[in-house]
Amino acid sequence: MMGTQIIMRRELASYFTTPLAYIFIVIFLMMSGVFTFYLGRFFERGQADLISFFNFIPWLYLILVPAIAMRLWSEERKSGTIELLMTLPITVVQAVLGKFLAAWLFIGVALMLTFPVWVTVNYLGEPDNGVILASYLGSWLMAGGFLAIGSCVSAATKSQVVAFILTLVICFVFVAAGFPMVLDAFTEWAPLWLIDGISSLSFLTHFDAVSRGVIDLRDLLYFLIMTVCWLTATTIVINIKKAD
Amino acid sequence: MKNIMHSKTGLIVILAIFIVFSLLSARLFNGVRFDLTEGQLYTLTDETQKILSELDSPVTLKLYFSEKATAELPGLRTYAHRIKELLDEYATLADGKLTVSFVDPIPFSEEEDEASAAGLQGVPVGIRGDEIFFGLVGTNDSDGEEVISFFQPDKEQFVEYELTKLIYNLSNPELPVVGIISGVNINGGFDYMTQQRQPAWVVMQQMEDLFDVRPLAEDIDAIDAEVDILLLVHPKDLSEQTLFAIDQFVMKGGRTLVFVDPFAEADIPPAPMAATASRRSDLSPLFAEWGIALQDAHIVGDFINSLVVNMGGGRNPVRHIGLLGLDLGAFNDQDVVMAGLESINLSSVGILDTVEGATTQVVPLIQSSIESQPLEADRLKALQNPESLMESFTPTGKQYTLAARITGAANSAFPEGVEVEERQVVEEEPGVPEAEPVMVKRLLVPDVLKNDNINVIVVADTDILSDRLWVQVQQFFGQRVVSPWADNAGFLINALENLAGNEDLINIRSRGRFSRPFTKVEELRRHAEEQFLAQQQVLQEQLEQTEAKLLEMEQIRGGGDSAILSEEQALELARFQDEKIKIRKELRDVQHQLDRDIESLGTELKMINIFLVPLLLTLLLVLMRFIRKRVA
Repeated sequence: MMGTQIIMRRELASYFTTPLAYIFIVIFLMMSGVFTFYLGRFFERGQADLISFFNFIPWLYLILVPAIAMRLWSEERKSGTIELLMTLPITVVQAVLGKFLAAWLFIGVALMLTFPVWVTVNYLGEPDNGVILASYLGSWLMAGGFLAIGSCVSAATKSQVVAFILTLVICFVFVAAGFPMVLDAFTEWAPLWLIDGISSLSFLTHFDAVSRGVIDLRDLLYFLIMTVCWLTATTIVINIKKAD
Repeated sequence: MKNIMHSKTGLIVILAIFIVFSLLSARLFNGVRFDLTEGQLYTLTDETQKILSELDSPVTLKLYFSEKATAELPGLRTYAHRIKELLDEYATLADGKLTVSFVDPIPFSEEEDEASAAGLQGVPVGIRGDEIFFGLVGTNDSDGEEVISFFQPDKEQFVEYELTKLIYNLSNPELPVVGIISGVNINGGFDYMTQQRQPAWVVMQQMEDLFDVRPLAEDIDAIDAEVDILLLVHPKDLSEQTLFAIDQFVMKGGRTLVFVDPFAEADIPPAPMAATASRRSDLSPLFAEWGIALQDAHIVGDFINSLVVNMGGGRNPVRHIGLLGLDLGAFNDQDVVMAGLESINLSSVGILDTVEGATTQVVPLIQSSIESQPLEADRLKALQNPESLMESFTPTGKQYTLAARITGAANSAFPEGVEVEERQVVEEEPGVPEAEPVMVKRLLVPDVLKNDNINVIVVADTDILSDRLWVQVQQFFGQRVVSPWADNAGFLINALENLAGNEDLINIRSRGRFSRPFTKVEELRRHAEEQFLAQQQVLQEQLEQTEAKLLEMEQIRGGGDSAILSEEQALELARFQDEKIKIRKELRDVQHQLDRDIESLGTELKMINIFLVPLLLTLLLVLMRFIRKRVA
């Protein structure tokens, strides 16, 4: 556990030594503001909830999370520092977990910095803050899922650009799996359980369920399984590559 | 283990585990939820649990959901899944009294015909336009049937109420009896003005769905024992005999709902008396005992809750402070009767005062805002311009009670009984004095003199029930299509259901709150209007003065000996004309200003939300760089 903590601290600190982290956060905040107020017409809707804010979160993550995840391992592999990392008295699992937690906390900070929109909605009316809390929690869990995917992809390639694009594509598939136009392709031939299964693999299905204000054990489990499986895959990928 | 974690097989194993677990978790772990919503919207209420555990007769529910046809609609499927879970939970709680089954009505199947026959609504979807069904049919063992024709996902908050109500109604097939005494044509009637028959008010139709509604005759000795709830609408000039009957009904524990009015718009007097006839109803002898009084000849004027009315004929809409659109702020949210209601419209509402020394408890259900003042009811009789009510309007800062619930101990208003004069010759009765040939006097003696807990709700407006204040009625191929725009009927139904002793059900309704408007914006709009009104008045006066002066000068020019104005006068004239134009422009500006505050608030919030935190972060970054440089 100590190893995980050390890696996490080191990583977290490294985020704030370069302006990169700052740029990500600023872009994320400004885009979420623009989406909420212009595309989501938050003010014109006149309803005291944050639906117009949370609706765009999965799509914002599609850009933000791969950008953060791409440098998790690719950079280390490219610059060769991964060899150095592996000589330290920590296991691969600890390293994977430490890096993941640091990035996850970082996204948590970015999410928390959207607090003005929460203050705004409470100033304008009387929203159901339980629902908002659940939605924030759901957003953060979803970020964990995105990030675990990104971590695995990043471990598999030396190029950050490839890692970014590949992560984006995989995440997009997971977001879109619940969409009617995707399911359309299956309705003609696939059995019902398969279609239900595909839609239940989607981030959106579970995120929507949580953002109603109800935290269902199944939704929690989904995000948990998603994260754990992809992180395990990351470990395996690093092990294999190390052997190469 | 070591091998798997180091080989490509490991990746495949993980993939398999991932898929199997995600699919399984959707099927296992049913119903473990943490409900974080404010009203616990997604948790079955104690009331539902109570109703389910007290079910008398068995109820069968059949949920029709088109599985195959909705394959492309994951949103609807999720919702259907939730309904299924909910129904399973219901069945568990009902302890065997409730049977639930699920049916997939495939197109052209027997099940589909069954669903259509039961009155379920088929909704066409997809390219092929297959009809999908998502409804519920409930039956009991005495052939009773209740249907939810389609579960609309946007009404999810009310689904528990709908389901529980359906189950309750099936297990209690007998409808409560509502007896009505009405001084207005609530049940339709003949309109002498248009020479046409008027249809019954929409509230009657709504009541008939849920209650056994019976009109009662006036001048009766006693209210029929079968009546569960007595509904009095505009009880105007009731005879002592009827008052006595009502008094005894209440004393015997009968539940009563009263709508009185200082000025009932719906009570239209015959044309020649229109300007003078009283349109007031009261129940003062009984009210006095119940601990309340309807304020004499006053209606409430309430600026904050007032509505804007369209005057037609190209005139600007104007504010009518006697016409009230009340919302959550005016309602007593502690009382179940007001539960789940969002807006109620009232017109020329009376004021209920509590009587000093009353033994009853009077709890206000609806109150006016603090910007209200009692107005003379007579001013409405010949009201041309509703805006004129604003003249001399000075809010008293007091909130007035417009509707109240009365409970607690009360005495009969007729402890001595009532003498009734009748035309017919009646059989000998004790206490009847010497009778004239036709007129007979008879003494009605009260059975009950005191009740420790009466159950009455009084509303100081009858127009609340009239269609024009809450519903739009359209004729559509001979059918009446009603679309409500306020919760007036909901209020009536809530009150009746509550008085019928069905409190459990009402409590469930209270949980839904789907509209949460921006209260701040509404406040701003009102402030702007208030300001606008004051400013407009000042400007209007200035304009009138200027115009009067201009007229004066024109007259000097026209009528004077010298037809030509002196230079000084001409200058003056030009100045006044300029001023007139200026004032008119200002008036227009003031009107534009109305929305400006709200718009600028919106812009400010946009800017804050988009730029504030990024800006602060930038500052922080610069500051940190600076400090680091200094240290280095």
